[in-house]
Amino acid sequence: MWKFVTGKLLQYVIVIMLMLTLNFLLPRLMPGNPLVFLAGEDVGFMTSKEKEAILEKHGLNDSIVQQYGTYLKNIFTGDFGFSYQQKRPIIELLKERLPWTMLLTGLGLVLSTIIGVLFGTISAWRRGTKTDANLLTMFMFLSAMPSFWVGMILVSVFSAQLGWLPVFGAESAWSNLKGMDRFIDIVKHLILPLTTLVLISVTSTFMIMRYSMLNVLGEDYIMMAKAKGVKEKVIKYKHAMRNALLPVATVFMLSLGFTLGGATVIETVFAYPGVGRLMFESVLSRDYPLIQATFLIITFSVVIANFLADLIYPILDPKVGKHNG
Amino acid sequence: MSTVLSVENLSTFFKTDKGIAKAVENVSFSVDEGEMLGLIGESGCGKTTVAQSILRLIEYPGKVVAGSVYLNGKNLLKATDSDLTGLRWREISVIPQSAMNALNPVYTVGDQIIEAILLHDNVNKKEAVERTKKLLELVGIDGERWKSYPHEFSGGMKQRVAIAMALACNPKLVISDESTTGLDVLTQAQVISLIKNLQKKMNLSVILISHDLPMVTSICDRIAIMYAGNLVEWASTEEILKNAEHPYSKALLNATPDLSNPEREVTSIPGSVPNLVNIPTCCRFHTRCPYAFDRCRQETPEFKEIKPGHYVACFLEEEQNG
Amino acid sequence: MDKQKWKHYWRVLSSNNLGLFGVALLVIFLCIALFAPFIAPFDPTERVGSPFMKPNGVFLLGTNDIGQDIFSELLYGTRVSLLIGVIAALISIILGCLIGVIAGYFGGKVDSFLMRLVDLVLVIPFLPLMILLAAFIGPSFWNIVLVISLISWASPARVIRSQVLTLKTKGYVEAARSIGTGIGVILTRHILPGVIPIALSQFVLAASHSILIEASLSFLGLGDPFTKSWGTILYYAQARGAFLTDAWIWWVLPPGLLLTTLVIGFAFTGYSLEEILNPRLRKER
Ligand SMILES: Nc1ncnc2c1ncn2[C@@H]1O[C@H](COP(=O)(O)OP(=O)(O)OP(=O)(O)O)[C@@H](O)[C@H]1O
Ligand code: SF4
Ligand SMILES: [Mg+2]
Repeated sequence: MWKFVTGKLLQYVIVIMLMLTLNFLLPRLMPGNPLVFLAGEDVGFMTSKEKEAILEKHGLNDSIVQQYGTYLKNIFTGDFGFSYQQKRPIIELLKERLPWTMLLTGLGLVLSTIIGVLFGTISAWRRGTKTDANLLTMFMFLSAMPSFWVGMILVSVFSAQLGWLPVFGAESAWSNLKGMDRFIDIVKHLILPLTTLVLISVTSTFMIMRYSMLNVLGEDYIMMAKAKGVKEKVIKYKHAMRNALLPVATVFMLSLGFTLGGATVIETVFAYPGVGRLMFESVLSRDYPLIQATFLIITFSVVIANFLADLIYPILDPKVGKHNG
Repeated sequence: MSTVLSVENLSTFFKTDKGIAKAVENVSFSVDEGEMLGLIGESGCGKTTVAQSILRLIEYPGKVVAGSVYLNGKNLLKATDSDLTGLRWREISVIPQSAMNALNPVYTVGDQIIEAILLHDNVNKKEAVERTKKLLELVGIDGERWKSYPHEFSGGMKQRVAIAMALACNPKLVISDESTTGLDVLTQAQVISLIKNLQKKMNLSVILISHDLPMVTSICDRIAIMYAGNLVEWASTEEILKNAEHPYSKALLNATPDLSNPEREVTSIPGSVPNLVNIPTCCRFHTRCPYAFDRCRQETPEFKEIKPGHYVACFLEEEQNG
Repeated sequence: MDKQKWKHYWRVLSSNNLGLFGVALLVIFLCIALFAPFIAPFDPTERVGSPFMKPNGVFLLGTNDIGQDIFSELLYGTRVSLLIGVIAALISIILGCLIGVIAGYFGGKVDSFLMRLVDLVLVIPFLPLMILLAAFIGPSFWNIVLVISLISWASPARVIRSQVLTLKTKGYVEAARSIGTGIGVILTRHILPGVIPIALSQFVLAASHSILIEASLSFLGLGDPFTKSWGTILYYAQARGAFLTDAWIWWVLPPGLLLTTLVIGFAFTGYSLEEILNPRLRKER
């Protein structure tokens, strides 16, 4: 087990280092004024003193190796730089936005996994029947729809036309709601973005669960359980599902990145104040340091979530769990 | 001696892309109390299909299309689902073809044996654990290992676990479907003698499916020989060894014994098994039979008793006797 | 021999309604893309009406915020979506094949290195990475293609590698190797014919992904500003708040429906291709 975990850990460290290096190199290698990339497009309005200060801060007058060292040191001490457009340290912006993204994607992942697993099981259990075919077609359609468009349509129908749910944001501005009222307000704001996120990310879980369940149902131990006289429901949920979940766990990890990416677009549609929306805002204003920081924080989140999932995996799979315990 | 299981005119077909595969057709035999019956035949001849039909485990695209299976007088093929739940494991259990894969990898072996016990016998968890430990000891595994996962056992040990599991609820009849496939020769011998000893000790009826004729003749009371979906001969071991009638049985017996590779004998008959999809009416052995004549290509010989307790499906005997 | 194989594939495909439906959709979209100038009533880059017009006899789906005909925009948009999808998918499949074949064929250290690389790439949250790259390299048709394909090669590479591994265990490859047949000959004679069908179905799936990614990027304002894709249309619809008014029916709904239909066309085709080429999946038990 430790070998498994350290192997994965190494892989994640490499991913993070690669992404950091990419981030370091991008502004320095792109044609054009690196200052623009480091400080945003406002540099045009800066005095030469201010420019000098930025150059100094990023050590642009040092050798490239020294610059790299400074860059890493900054990141690891939580200094993601300064957003010259928003006139605030980036880390503050991230701290404000991250909880919303975690709320949205966390719930989205849990719900889409549960729904995907359930329907995947049903579909495989009824392989070859109408139910199976209908579920398959439905989920294929879901995965074919562009996420942001689903969001827009939901807003058009449920917010603009029917007026049931709020249009924008994570909670009502200036309302000063407290306690339960605030909670309800937040839930109301969450429903549409969450639905959109679940709709677009549920298909991959469904497909894998269905496929993996089909394989498991062909295994001898399922036949054995049946021969033992175990009831159908128990076979389905205790014997088959448990085994079929193993590949789902792997896909769960892969879909983390996808879901967070999807959240970026969905947060944009709903003006949901998460990191993804922040990334979009920074793209609009060409606030390059902020684009980079949001990218990094999303990557970090994915890697950390992956690693947590790796730690949980051995509980599901005794083969990994018990070895060298 | 009373009959425990009797199979009558059993036919099980599979739907395939190319047509209907008549995997088992018109098979009849029976097993007595405390008897060990050997069911033998080449790979693909339908042994597993017979076993699964008896156990009611045939699933789409397969279907039992005709026949009846009486277990202590009760027709299994007509039993309701709740009847079956009561019968399974208490009356009839199976040691499957690949015991390696018959254990669920995510549960401990103990849990899987206990599951069967709790399902069928009115005992509490603690008693079930005790019985599980005893069962494991019975098949030569340390009882304390009930908490181990399947992957922590060797192939031979998993096989023993499967045997222990089959015995969990004191069944009357155990079907052992080539339970030694994939094991080395020494372990095979150990597992087989274990089955034999347990059978004697517990007065079990056993159907021992195999393609190893010498092994079967050495431990079974009666032998049923299958070819391409049909039963071709069924008699006591002694009778088969001395007076085998069917050309296929004779060919099996005459093939040179080769102790290091027992499977060779079965495959060393020239020619190959016919395709069972859309097979026409005929004696299915005629393509390889040295005695085949016209009638063999047009009619299916009846499986009938030529001497008390000796059944054969071949036209030769009929021709010779009139 | 080969001709017969294709004939067989075609037979299976045509007995497969889903696949046939998918191919039909793709053909329709191809025609729209090719003949857009003839079908479209207006030039989508010209201001031909007043802004924000409702649908009427002249402007079937009304006009956008600067008075361009939305219907014509949609027809022309097919070109961009289709082209980017196909080109990006093509590049990523070529990359994927290259890496998959090298990894599978040479095995050993090369293989484990490349597969580690694949694992790495698959962990990266790809849409944010694309946004980052697109923001830095700047939006243009080719940059988008480049960005998409640089990141989408990984999972086809893995599929193709496992196919090569299967092919390698077949006797003739080993035999050819042992009698000293050159790598080139083995690859073209024995490996590629087995890889191409798989690559084809992977290509179709990659194309559907690429189309969705392009749409997302365009929707975020990172699309090529000089060409109008369906994603770009939705970007403006969003920016002008069209989805909060009645205009959602003619401005927001149609581009998304077209996107969905096109992706479904690819997905159905790919799904049935996979069934045809991988008979093990067919007639599952
Ligand atoms: N699911 C299935 N679909 C189609 N045909 C099947 C299926 N299962 C079995 N068959 C066919 O039924 C015939 C008998 O198979 P069976 O597994 O009973 O043989 P067997 O005697 O047990 O062989 P072995 O010694 O290899 O275990 C074979 O010809 C096989 O092709
Ligand atoms: S019936 Fe004919 S073909 Fe069949 S075994 Fe007898 S002699 Fe041979
Ligand atoms: Mg068998």
